[in-house]
Amino acid sequence: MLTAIVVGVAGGLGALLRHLVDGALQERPSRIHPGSASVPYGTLVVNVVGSFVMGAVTGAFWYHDLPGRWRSIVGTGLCGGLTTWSTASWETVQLATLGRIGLAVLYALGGMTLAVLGAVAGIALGGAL
Amino acid sequence: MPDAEPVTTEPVTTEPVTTEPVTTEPVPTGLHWAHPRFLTCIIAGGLLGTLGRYELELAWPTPAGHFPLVTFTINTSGAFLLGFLLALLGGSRRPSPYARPFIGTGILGGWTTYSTLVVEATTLGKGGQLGLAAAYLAATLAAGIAAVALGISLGPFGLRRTAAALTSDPLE
Repeated sequence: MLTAIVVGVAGGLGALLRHLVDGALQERPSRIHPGSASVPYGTLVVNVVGSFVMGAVTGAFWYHDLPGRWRSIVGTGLCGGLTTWSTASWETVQLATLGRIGLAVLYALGGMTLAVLGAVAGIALGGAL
Repeated sequence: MPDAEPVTTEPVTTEPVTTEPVTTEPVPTGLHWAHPRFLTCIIAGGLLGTLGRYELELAWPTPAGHFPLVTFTINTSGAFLLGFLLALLGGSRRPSPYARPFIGTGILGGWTTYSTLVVEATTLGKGGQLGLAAAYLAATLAAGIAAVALGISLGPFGLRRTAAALTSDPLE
């Protein structure tokens, strides 16, 4: 029960961090504005970094007996709040509706590739430390 | 030569007929994007979304080597709801400025997850099931895009008009 609350709070903080990174990396006020469509770097960064960190706690859990509670708090909680699938999908569709099909494909596939590589690297690191 | 009144032509001004473009621009509130009110909304929403996902994962854990149906359902539903939410807000005359940070960035951002997705795929791959891992990623990607499109299409303007509005320059 207490773990659930901590997981939730970690998720809230992860979401906060995502918003702050997004704000720092994106043009304000518009992120995807007609005529200046670009890769949504904020979402990309948090998704890749979050995947790496989640990989790290997963590796530590698998190979170094990290308590499951901490995997839940840092992984499911913090990384789950930090990363987002809904925004990434929305941004992909937006790029496509703006006519930037190639960029949409690059963002979707490139982002996924980087995140998977991040997870693999994270697991390796978590298992090695 | 008689005095001639200078001919002045007053410019004819008429109010241009404008249809509000569907937009996902943040509502101008005068508040900074990192205003504490927005941050509170985001933390609260993120907490709720994350808690929901956590409890669902606990209730229905995916057995090793199986398609992670719970995460897939969570991510796809979140994509749908975000598409629907942003279409609703874009079509609303006076959308609440707190709806997007609370529901979008917060709840749905916490509900959906990229990290769990790719770690689950990597886990499947490490278990020797590269085909299933690739299928999981591909299915999630396809479903996510379709879900966003479906969510937008159920909004006030539908998909085509929303797309058309997004591709038109609002400054013209």
